[in-house]
Amino acid sequence: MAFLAQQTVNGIALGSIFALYALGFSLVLANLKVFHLAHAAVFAWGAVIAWQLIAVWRWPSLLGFAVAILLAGLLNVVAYYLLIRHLQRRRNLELAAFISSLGGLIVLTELAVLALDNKTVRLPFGTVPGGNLDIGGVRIAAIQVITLITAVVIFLLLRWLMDATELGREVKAAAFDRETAEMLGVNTERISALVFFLSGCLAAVGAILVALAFNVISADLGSVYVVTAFAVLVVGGFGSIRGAYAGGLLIGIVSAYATAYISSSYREVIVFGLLLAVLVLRPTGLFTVADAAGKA
Amino acid sequence: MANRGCLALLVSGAMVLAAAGCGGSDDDASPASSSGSSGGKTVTIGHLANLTGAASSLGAPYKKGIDLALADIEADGFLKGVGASLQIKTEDTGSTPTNAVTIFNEFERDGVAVTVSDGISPIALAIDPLANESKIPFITGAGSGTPDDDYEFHLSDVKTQYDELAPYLVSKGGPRVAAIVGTDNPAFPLLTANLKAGLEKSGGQIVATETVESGDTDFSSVLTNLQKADPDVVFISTLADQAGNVLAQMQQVGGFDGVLKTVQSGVSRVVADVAGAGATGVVLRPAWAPGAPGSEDFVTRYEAANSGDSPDTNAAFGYQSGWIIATAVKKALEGGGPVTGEALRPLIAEASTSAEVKQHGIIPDLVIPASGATTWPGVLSNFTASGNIEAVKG
Amino acid sequence: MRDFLDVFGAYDFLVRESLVLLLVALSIYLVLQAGMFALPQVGFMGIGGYVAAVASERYGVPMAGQLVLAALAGALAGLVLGLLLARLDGIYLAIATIGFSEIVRLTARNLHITGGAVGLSGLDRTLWDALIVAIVLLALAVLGRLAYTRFGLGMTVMREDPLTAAHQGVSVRGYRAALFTLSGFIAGTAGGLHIHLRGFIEPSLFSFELLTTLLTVTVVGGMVSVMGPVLGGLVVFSLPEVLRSVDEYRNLVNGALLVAVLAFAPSGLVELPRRLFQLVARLARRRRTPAREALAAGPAPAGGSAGSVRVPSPRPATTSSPDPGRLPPGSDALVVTGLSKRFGGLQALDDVDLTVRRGEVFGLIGPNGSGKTTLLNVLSGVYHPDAGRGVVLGTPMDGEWGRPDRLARAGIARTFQTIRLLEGHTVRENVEAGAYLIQHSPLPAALLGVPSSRAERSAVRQRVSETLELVGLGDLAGHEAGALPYGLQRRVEIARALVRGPGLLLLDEPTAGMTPQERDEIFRLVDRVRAQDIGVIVVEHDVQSMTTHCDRLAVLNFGHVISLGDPLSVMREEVVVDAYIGRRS
Repeated sequence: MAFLAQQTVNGIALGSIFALYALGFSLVLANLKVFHLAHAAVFAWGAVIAWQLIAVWRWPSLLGFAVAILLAGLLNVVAYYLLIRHLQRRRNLELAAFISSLGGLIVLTELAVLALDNKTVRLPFGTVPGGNLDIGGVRIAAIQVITLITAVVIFLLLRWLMDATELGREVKAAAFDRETAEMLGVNTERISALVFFLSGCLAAVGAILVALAFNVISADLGSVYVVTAFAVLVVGGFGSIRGAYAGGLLIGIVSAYATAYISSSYREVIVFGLLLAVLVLRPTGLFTVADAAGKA
Repeated sequence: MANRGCLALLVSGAMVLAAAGCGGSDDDASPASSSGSSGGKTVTIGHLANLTGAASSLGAPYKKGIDLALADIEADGFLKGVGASLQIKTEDTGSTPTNAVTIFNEFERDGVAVTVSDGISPIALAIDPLANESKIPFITGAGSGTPDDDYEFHLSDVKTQYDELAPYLVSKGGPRVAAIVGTDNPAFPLLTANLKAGLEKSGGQIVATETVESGDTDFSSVLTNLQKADPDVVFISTLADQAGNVLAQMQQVGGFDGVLKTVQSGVSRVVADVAGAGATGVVLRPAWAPGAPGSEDFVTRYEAANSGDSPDTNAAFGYQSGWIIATAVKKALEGGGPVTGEALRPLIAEASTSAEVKQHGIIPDLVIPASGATTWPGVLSNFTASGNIEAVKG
Repeated sequence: MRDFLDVFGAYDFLVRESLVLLLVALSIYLVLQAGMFALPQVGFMGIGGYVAAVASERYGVPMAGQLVLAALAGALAGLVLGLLLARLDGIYLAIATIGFSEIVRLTARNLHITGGAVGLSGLDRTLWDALIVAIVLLALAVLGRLAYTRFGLGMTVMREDPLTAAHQGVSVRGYRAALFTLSGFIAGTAGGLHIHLRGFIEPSLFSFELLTTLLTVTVVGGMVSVMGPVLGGLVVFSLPEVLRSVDEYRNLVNGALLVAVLAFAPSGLVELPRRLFQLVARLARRRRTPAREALAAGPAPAGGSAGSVRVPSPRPATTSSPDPGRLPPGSDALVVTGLSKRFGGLQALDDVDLTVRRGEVFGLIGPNGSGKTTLLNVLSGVYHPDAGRGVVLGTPMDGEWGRPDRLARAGIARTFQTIRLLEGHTVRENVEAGAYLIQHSPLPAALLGVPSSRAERSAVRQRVSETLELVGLGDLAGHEAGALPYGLQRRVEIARALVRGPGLLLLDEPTAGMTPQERDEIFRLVDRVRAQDIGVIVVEHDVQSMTTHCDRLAVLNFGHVISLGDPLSVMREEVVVDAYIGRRS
């Protein structure tokens, strides 16, 4: 029983990271109907910037994290302007944006490789708080606690932003029908830039958590999780904050259980199998009622 | 439309052919090449170097090792007696088999006598048929056996090293061994199987096997599984960065303090770079490590030539390869024959056990047989607090 | 014959591998150029490769047999996947198919028979270069020729406007299955060839990274022509060798190339020669005299009196326009009863009954939002009604609701409120798209150009010309459709609908935005159509024209038919007047 509980905790912690990562894609997807692959590179860069500030230039950790998060947001805005914006009027927007963003992913990843000199680095020892919480035989590492709390806080913040603010209403309007929103006076381009900024910041938060929890900062940090992000989005439903979280947690728990009870090598097969099954049987996702983003 | 497409095709085709003719080959002749050797034969080694990409932690030290060997050979005047000199061409494969094949073909065209590479199996697999077709020996740090008449020589001992290590693990740690195995590279499951065979002879057993993929970064579930199996020893058979990561997370998660940890022998100090204190005391049995008897001089020279970088087992493989080749070349010329791949082939095995290599080489008792698996006893080592791999004293 | 590619020296392996990967890129091209955003080809290649490898190792199948098995395995996988994912589109389809490729890789990595992570090695490497080249050339020939058949045109329309394609009888689902199967066949063959190049197979080859490389090849080269992937392959595969000295930047260049091509030359590099040609032609044209230029610029916009090119007048009708109000004889073109359609809280159609006869012009009018276009959309298959039955030209509609391609097959054709033409194509090509259903040469016959197929093409060309004459566009067949003025574009659309001889023609606001003179011309055209015993349903706002030209009129309000019959009497009914003016509150 303790084993199951322990693996469930592992799954939730892992799933929270998946959720944060998928959420970045989800926000952009909802706003522009575009799958922004380069988000994976922005994710990696979030960690790289944090490393550069904290490990190389020896800034205090919290300051370094804050600055990295902001810079990653800006990077994503730049990516929007260079990769996506000029394609928006096109008929085959989905395909064109996917590929353009793929190009951006390749370029940004290569730049990260050059920045890291093709090595894997880590944050300085001691940035990660050590120690564990022991609750009834279940051991929760300090970093897992931090991950869980961060994910919850961000979830609440985003929900508040979307539901209770004017900005949130504008974002939702633009996501639902861009042209109409424009006619109603919403500056959809500014909204898009803002969504990309938020998404980039989210990416950096996730990347920093990964750097802390898993001790790796490498150029392809984001690419490793991209296909899992697919699964989270499909299972949770595109364009929904709640869906991204629910999907992320579900996939995290499924991963943990698969490793625990079957084998680590089948973990991915099971996750992808789940992805395909959901796509074929219930393409709108397991957790959405109304499909806002819709199929093409 | 089709016509214009065809035109574009023809133009581009012409461009590529022109480029192919000119060739963009990046020559990197090492300073060990003897330009001053008058009337002497220059023998070229082709080095398929994994300087970037997944295997760079193996390839970089290997290159430093073989370059040092060539410098030593030159300084020693080893081949002066037979009127020859050794030079090396180094090309980066980026750790991909396709590039490796192209580079091998180029080397063949350039007339190299022998090729070398460090130990990554997918590349060894790709080059094997080519080495045999073109009759150019290929010495690789990867592991497996060499059948008769084969031109590929593997330096890694995949069988006997675990025969030596297993009893140590059982006596120091305990009989219950858990293994974490990387699945992306064919070598790792193979190494684990050999450890299992070694353990069975020493009264140990594998109580749990967890497989991981090279991109995996989260090991919490895997570690929870291991804890459930309650092992005395944990064997990590993955590439260096990942091994380091596993060790770091073991420390974070806790519960592994009393467990003896061991990693596969081809790793470099990258493990400690990643794991920090988590790597201290981790045991391994590579072919060579600093602190092995008779190695101080080599370590000093290596560090001097490489801005203080410490050599590891891959560097040692490189160094040993250089001397084995030089000895084979010497024997070929002493025998009066030409220095071709075909001629060198039988001499490589001979060279590995020759007096010359025993004197100049660095890996104790590395034996490459004419056919079959390479063996070496290995040097019991561990990671020190400073993150270096060093031989265990006493 | 065996090793002639050795002429490339050190690059011989690279060239051979590039040729085999080109095959996979072609299989990607095949699917993308039909507008399907699907990327399972690396998975197909893996399946083909492993089937061949296992056949070789386990069962000692000779190489020829292996290749056949590989191709068939890929094709089967394609068929199954195409059917399974039939209802997915856009990014969902892309993700599902990428997921499929990953599953193939992971399964191969975990199965014992495929050698697990180690894979299978020691495979036969005696692959004849002539075979590789022959297969690539064959694939190029087939795919290139495909573009010239009606199937190629069908796929082009599918790419540019799937809804229009469906209305010409192109079954998107059928094409999905067929293209996936063919794509799997080609990629599977490539997989089988590849293992004999390398001599071994292992799962890490079939990665997302390979997909991105091949996608780069296809996109950079261009998806509008089969030469696109070839050009893309030349660029992407040779770039690393040409740029050896800056090898670390190779990926950077690939990525930047991708972004740049999409931004500046979205149809790919293969489009550049054509663009260059057009630029030169435009520069050359500037040197002509102004008068010539006016002529070359095409007919003046509709309504302009001083147009230098006269719009050709239509051929006189063979019969005079019938007396409005008199029901012409003819069998029923359409009978529907109880048609209803609801969108959320809005009842768009409410229990609609109507009958339209062949050779009759049936008008549909009503205030905005009354459901006219919805009715046409239900009839042509855009929407599935919630209730109701129908028979069109003798075919029951009950199994065909919501399927534009099936209803087109039953004999319905239509135009849309917003003109939907292929802008970059000629008038002739646009109308030819409408002739999809009247051609019956099977694919192999069409590819080979056998006499019967050629005769059919000839007949279609003739028919297109005749239809263009009928609508008065005979002289403009070679003109680019997007460059025509609005009124003429509408005629092209009508021609497209007519070319296959439908029994029922639906016209959705065909004269919107036209001058009275143009409107008259359109209605005269409708008369000529009626004379060919075709039933016509016209939706329009201009009550005057409708009363003049329609045989019968139906008035819709809030989805309900409030009046139906002789136009003059209908317009006098109080309930109709109320609906328009809104006297009742």
